[in-house]
Amino acid sequence: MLALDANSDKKLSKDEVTDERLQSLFERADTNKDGSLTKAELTAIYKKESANLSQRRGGPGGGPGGPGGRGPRGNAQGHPGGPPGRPGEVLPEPVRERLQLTEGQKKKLDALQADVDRRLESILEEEQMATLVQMQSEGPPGGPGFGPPGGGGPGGFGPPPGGPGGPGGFGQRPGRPGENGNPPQRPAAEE
Amino acid sequence: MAAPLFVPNRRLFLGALGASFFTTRGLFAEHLFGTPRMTEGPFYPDQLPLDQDNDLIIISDSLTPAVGEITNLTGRILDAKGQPLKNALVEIWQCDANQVYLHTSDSKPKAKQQDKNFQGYGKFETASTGEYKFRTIKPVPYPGRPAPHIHFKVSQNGHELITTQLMIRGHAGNLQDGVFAGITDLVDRELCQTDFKKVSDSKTGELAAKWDVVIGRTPDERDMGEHS
Repeated sequence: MLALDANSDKKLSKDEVTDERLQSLFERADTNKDGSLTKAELTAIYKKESANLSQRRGGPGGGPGGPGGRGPRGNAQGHPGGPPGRPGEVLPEPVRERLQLTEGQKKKLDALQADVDRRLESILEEEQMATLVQMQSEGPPGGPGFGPPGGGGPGGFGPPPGGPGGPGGFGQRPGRPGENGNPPQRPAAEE
Repeated sequence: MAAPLFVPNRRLFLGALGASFFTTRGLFAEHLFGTPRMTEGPFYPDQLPLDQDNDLIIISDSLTPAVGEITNLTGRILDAKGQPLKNALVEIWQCDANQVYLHTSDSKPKAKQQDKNFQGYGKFETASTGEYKFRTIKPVPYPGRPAPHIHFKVSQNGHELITTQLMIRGHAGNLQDGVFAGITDLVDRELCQTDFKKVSDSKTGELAAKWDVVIGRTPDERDMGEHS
């Protein structure tokens, strides 16, 4: 499974990543600085460094808002730029920004996140993990109509799925106002 | 909602990592990841300049250098086993500091804007070490392309081996860029970026960028689904 994992311990050590072009990635991904990468750490950096990219992929023109944030925690006004939550996300990016974390705090938080990711992944089977992620991207069962339509809330602020609150706003978010001249569109009523 | 989302779907979630570190690509320690292929774009020069050397900062014996942050761009052309490719022709092209390409469809309408001292295109043939070397400017964003980039084309004996682009590692524009967005694999993304670092002993503030190009898949696979 781990193509580069020579000793099959499900981690990538620095020795196993021999391609020097990947050293920078290795160092960025190794948030707990233990000299080895777990799949959780790789997943975390991929998401972290893709966050803005994914938002952009919502596409020009904005498009309709998704099924919306779940319940009361969803921010009905939407929060352009707020990424949707993901399983076990401790503090989503907009929240981190708002809190104006120090560099030291960011590092600690990254380490905590890596730890959470790792532990969550150790609890769940790979298939379950995939299902969880799929559920997130598809919205809650029952689909549209589950929450107020409109831009997804900041989401992900609550406990992992299963609890109240939880990730919201998996829909396509409205485009940033003014980005392309089109105001964010309200979605057609989905109920 | 069919559009890709934050964690778009299971295929991408697994695929993004799976295709790189976590699945078997027949990779062993001595194998290198192939540099991802990317679109050639519309501006490979339609008329190659008279001066095609590897110094894009000075055209012929002009005294006026190009505008921009001078960058010493070096690297090697390697095969998947890490063996250097000799007699590989490396061509690069990029827009000047004023966002104009050396291509008549760009430079004609933007004639006033163009930096006439930037060569815009250069080539270099590798020796047995596989090394190439250019003196050029740090790339800048181009309208519609927020990711600053340098186009690369490598060929050998008249056969094209790869067409791709080099971007600046961690540049904010990358995440707004459609071509970059087309690369969904964590490792592939890493492989098309490099650092542009200040040369410590340079009084003029020159930069150095090192980028190895690994020829992976067969060239026949190019043009397959890599348009933007």
